[in-house]
Amino acid sequence: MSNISSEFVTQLATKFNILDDIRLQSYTDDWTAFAQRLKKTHKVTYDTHDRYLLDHSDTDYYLPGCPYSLTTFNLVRTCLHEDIPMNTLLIVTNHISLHKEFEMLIPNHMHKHNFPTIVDQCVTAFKNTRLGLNQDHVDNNILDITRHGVSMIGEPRIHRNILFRLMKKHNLLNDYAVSYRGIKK
Amino acid sequence: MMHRIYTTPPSTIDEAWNFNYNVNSSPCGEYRDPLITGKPNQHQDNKTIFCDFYKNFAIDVVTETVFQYPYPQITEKTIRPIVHEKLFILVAPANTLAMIHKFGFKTFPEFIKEDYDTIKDPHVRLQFIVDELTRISKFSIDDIRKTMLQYKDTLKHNYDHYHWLCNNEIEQIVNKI
Repeated sequence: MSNISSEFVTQLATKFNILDDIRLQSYTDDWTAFAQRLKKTHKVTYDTHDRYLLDHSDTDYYLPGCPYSLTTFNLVRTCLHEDIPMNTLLIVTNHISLHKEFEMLIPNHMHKHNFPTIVDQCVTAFKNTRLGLNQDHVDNNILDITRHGVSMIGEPRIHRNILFRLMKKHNLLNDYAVSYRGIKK
Repeated sequence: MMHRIYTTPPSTIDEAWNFNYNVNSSPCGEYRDPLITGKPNQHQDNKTIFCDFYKNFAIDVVTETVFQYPYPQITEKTIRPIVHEKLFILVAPANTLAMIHKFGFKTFPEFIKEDYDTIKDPHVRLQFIVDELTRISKFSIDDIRKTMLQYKDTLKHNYDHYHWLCNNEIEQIVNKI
């Protein structure tokens, strides 16, 4: 299921004919399945308003020293192979400046008329980033503040593990309340 | 012949950035401060990101999904302190704060040093952040409360601006496409 908000999809639908709404993250381990999905809506001739809406809100893997992610690489390769015009792709992403990767991977002669539309500067495009709308405004009372800060570190990842270790080492866990899932002992 | 590249094992995040350093980055045991109650990541139910215990804190040390990454990536984690009207430090890719400013939000440079946002080296950036947390921890709670009062207008601006974006940004973006 796409993470793009229904509000955004509705707005896009007023301007484009959305052929499919695809979450790229679902296919990063199986691009053949992605190709098969594209085939279902493949057309010999596309209308100027036809678009594949691609949700690119998750993280990507970058090979060491490689300037583009495996997702971008595999996406471009798959679309070229399946004869999907690049200008039918409407990519909504929270990777700001993602277009640079497509500029590297798509041949220069296609840049002007056959390049994906990339929406990378819309904070509220996704369901998750609109969640704050659902909550009532709370008047903060400064007297409620009893600690300097909080860090909901969550799932272990390298930067989170290092941060937690450093906060512990510097005796910061008394000043900053931390929730860290870590490894269950 | 169609060539595609996959990672083995399947992964979406390049977590190899600490391999050549002597910093211990292995996971620790789980830990939760008693003040943090309920489900910390309330957004998991896809309804809200409100946390009642948030009222007890002034600063959210936001650990974004990625840290050593080619681009800023802004998720609901960064939105969380904005809708709770709290100060924040972003443990996030370089230039994320710059993007926050570009989107129209305000930050707190007089209180929280923001140089970390321009530091490319992940270890130096993380150490800078921890040094900043240590410096701020020396302030008394009364000082922290006064600081929150000083930034009341900034925090209100961020809250209002977020709501403005939610109501207007999508239409503006779609019109531009």
